[in-house]
This record gives sequence, C-alpha cells and structure tokens, in this order.
Amino acid sequence: MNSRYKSVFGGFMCLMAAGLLLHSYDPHYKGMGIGAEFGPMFYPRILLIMWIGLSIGLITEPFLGREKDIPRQRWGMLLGMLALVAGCTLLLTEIGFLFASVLFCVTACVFAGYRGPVGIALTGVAFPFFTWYLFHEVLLIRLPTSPWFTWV
Amino acid sequence: MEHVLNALDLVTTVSAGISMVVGTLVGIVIGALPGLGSVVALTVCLPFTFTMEQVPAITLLLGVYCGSVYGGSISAILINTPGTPQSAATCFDGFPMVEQGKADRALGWTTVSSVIGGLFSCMVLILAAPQLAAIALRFGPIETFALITMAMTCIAGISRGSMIKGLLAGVVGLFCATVGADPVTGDLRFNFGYFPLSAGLDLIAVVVGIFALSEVFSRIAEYARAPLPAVERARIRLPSWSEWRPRLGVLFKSCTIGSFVGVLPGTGAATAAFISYAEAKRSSPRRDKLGTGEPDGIVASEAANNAVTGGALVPTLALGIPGDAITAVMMSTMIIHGITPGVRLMVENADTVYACFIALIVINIIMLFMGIVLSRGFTRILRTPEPLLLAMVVILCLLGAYGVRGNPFDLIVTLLFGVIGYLMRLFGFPVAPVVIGLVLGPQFEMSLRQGLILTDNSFLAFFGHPIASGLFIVTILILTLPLVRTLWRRRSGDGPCPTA
Repeated sequence: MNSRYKSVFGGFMCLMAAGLLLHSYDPHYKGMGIGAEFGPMFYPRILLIMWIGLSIGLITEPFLGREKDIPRQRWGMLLGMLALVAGCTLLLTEIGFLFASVLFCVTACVFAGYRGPVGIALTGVAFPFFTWYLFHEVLLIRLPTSPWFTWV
Repeated sequence: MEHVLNALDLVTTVSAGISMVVGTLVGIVIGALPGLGSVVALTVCLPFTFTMEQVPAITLLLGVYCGSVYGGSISAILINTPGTPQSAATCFDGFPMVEQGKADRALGWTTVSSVIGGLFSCMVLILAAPQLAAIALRFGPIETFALITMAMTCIAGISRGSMIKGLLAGVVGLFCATVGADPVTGDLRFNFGYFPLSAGLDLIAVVVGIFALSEVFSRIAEYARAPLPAVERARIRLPSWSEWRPRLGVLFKSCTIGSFVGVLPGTGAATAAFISYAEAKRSSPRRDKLGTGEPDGIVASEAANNAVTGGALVPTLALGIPGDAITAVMMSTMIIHGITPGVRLMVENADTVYACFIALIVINIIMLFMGIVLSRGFTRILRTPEPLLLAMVVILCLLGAYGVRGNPFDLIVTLLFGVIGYLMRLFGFPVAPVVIGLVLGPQFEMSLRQGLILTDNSFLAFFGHPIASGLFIVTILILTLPLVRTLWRRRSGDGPCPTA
C-alpha cells in the first residue's frame, strides 16, 4: 500500500480533532464550570490543539520521505473476522455468553482455515464451557445468560 | 520493617500463592506461543482478577509478566521463532545449539539466566523504588505535571514509530481520559448526549481492545507466514558451576544493562536484550563464537530481558507512572482494585508495594522450578494451531471488557478500540502511549489545573520550581535530540536519519 495513505490518515485525524475542538465551543458547555478557576473545556482544548498540530506533522511526514510502505493486508479475512467479532459482541447479550462463544469459536476457527475436528471441538465447545464454569461458578462473575436457559 | 512484615502476611496467603504459581505457568505458556507476547498475556488474564483481592490479583499479573518474558525464549530456542520480541536476540545462539543437538543445555542456560536476571532486578527494585518514592514525596502538583509531561514525551519519543506518531498517540490517550465527568466541576464532557459515555471510557475495555483484539485483527490480516519448523521435544540440563564461572562477567553486565534499561520509560525488554547482546559481542572473551551456539549469547539476552521486569516496575511503583504497555496494564489492574496511581502510591499503599517486591522474588524462584519440571510439556504447546489461539483470545477479550462493570457498552468500546489499535499498528503508530495517556490523564489534568491555581494562572511560574524546571529541561532535550541528531548526520554527509 502506498505510504501516501498515511497522509490521508493524518488528514482524517486532523479533521476529527477539528470537529471535537468545534464541539468544545458548543453552547451547552458555556454554562458549565461557573465559579471554577478553569472551565471543563480548558484542558481538552489544549489537547485538541496539540492533536491538530501533530496531525499536520503526520500529513507532511510521508512527503519528507521518512515512511516505509504499509505491508499488504488480507482485507477479506480482516473484514470477515471483524464481522464475526462484532456478531459475537451483539449476540453475547442476546443469546448469552455460552451460546455466543460456542458459535463464535467454531465459525472463527473454520473461517481462519482450521479444519481439525478435535481442535474445533476443544476450542469451540470445551473452552467456552470451561470458561463459563470458571467465571460463573469459581470466580462468581455474572456473565450474560441466554433467554432460553436462564442458568447458562 | 512494619511494611515488610505486613507485606509478608499478604503474600503468604493461599490465594496469593496459587495466583503466583498459576500466573507464572500461564505466562510461560502464552509467552512461548509465537507472537502473542507479554501484553496480550496480561490482557487476557485481566478478567480473572476482577473478583480477586488486591494482592493476589497483582501477583497473578506479576507471574504472567515474568513468566511470559521467560516463556518467549522457549520458542526462540526450539523453533527459532521468538515467542515475544524480548527473546529475539536469544535465537542467535539458542537455535544453533538446538541444531548441534544441545537443546537441553540451551534451555538450561536460558532458565538459569532468566531467573538470575529476574532476581537481580528485584534487588534493584527494592533498593531504588523507596529512594525514588522518598524524592517523589516532595512533589506538588507542578512537579507532578512536569513529571508526567516528561514521562509521556519519553514514552512517545522512544517507543516504536516516529516521534510525531508517538506524541499523537499519547495526546489521543490523554484526550480519551477527558470523556465523561470533569474531575473538578463534575460537568459532563464529550458524551454527545449519549448516557453510557457519561462514566467515561472504561480503561480495561480500551486496554483489551487496543492491545489484544487489535493483535488478533493484525494477525488475521497478515499474509500467511512460513510454517513453523518441527518442534524438538527437549528436556532441560542446567549448566554446571565450571561452565558458569567464566560467564559471570557477561551475566552481571547483562543484568545491569537490563535493570537500567527497564527503569527508562518507553524502552522495554527487547531493547535491553539487543543492547546486552551487542555488549557481549563487543567484550566477551568468547565473542568470536557468538552466533554459532555460544551460551554467552543466551546469557546476555535472557539475563537482560528478565532484568527489565523489576526495573520497569521502579517508576510504576515508586512514582505511579507506568513506563511501558505492560506496566500500564498492571497499573490499570491496580486502579480497578482501588489503588490510585501517582507519586504517593508508595506512601499510601506501602504494604501492597512491598508485597509486589516479595512476590517478584518468589515468582522468579517458581519460574526456575517450572522450567526444570515442565520444559518437556512447554515444547508441546508450540504445536497449538494459530486459529484456535486467536478464537480463544477474542473470547477472553470480550470477557475482560464485559466483566468489569457488566456493561454491554464496554464491549462496543473494546471492538472500536480493537479497530483503532489495528489501524494504529498498520500505520506504524505505537499503541502503548494511548493507554498510558488514558491511565495518567486524570492526574495530569488535575495537576495542571491545581498548578495554575497555585501560580495565579501563570504557566511560566511552573519554571520557578527547581524540580519541575529540571524535568521540563529533560523533556525539551527528549523532544529536540532526534532533530539535532538528524541535522548532525546531514552535516556529516550521512543523509537523513530514518526514524525507527
């Protein structure tokens, strides 16, 4: 990937900071911190100005020839895994930890190219069960439960 | 003395003992798996500490930390692939020894060197931390502000990537800490009317996302690497005294380098190992054999990278300032357990800090026994397929994020920071300054605001404080040194200096 993409990233960072700086002047912050020596936006604004300055530095860096090219990425694999993690995140609170983690582990292993049935059974079934038992029964940390079986 | 006795009481409980053993074991196992590293090891173990008491939680993570640094050397030696970056230098002489059929001896050298390095650094920690903490007691808000400024600049400047990227990452971390309630007035900032943001970004959710989840994304997106070589099942054979005696100089020098580098914020064990290896190559009587399976190389690398463990804890425990990603994760665990980071950490939590000292010594001894007894078992772990590991890491990440507050919003934060962490790695940003900024952010803001009140809103008056002035001068030096170095090299005709 061309290193000029790094300038685009720098530009994105700069815009984000500028947007946040603009937001810090939102009217609803004006009434805050009355009586205090410094308002709540005093310190964040300093940071945001530094953020903008450094982002500008970031935009110019690739043009100074200091940058290496970004390594090639398997975007399909990345987006697939991202979708699986996002799905697991959503399902965790909907169908409970145990079902969501079994579903995720099995699909993630297959998606990442692993086909061994023993490994999938160990990671996809034994590992979530062991983890659930450890947290639920030993460490007494409540995990999200399923709507069908309230005990898991 | 009273603190030492209290600390002994805290460390000699059953739960603390189990934590140390389990932590060390888990650390060695995860450290031995190529690519996961100490930070991921600590991050996936975080959720297990939530319901633990203060000291067992910290000793578990200390065990994971020390174990993972040692564990990285096992794969470095046996399959020529370092489990952690810290062990990269161990490959140079460790793997040639395996090729010569001396795997058992290589594991013996690495185990003893690691343990001696770790114990040496404990001594440094015990001697240095209280002295540093005593100096820090004189620190008011202005000095604290100057200290955090210096630490953040140092971490951002030295860590991987260019200085601009390091500083930007630090600023982003400091900004993330401002989300939620203002520490002085209690007014809500940057929550955009969204209620879950009112409590701010949960530190653990960010840590888990930016370190562990982003690592999973990075590894999945990487083009397939060459398959790992077959693993030799090896036992361990400890070196005899006659073999050790001529190498004591290398050992002592490496321990000193490791401890010193560890104290410096933003450097880390990998740097220490390479500096120490280079020093052994320069000064060892057997320097000609280095790189061909000479134990000096293993001693230099392993003693130094393990000596970093105690050194890195000096600024963390004495000043409450984490020097790298690993200590930042440990500091976040301390925060969960009610310990406030800062210059008064050692005064307000002396028993806990001394308990950490004792635990570190015990963990290094446990590591020696585990290395001797379980080395054969550790070699089997290296055959674990990567897809299975990544799936398990994701589940532990989500558990870590959810477990602190039981808030589903934290899962979204973790996912978001996982993506941000991935992008940062892709574009060559160091991720540690973000977390260190997030940890130190509230204290940094408070000290700035208190300092300005003390000086009647005059920032220039900060320079009237001698300690603060000294720290600011060091900060300016850190910021300007790379520029001066570049100009100097250009003047010498070497062309522009590429930033690491």
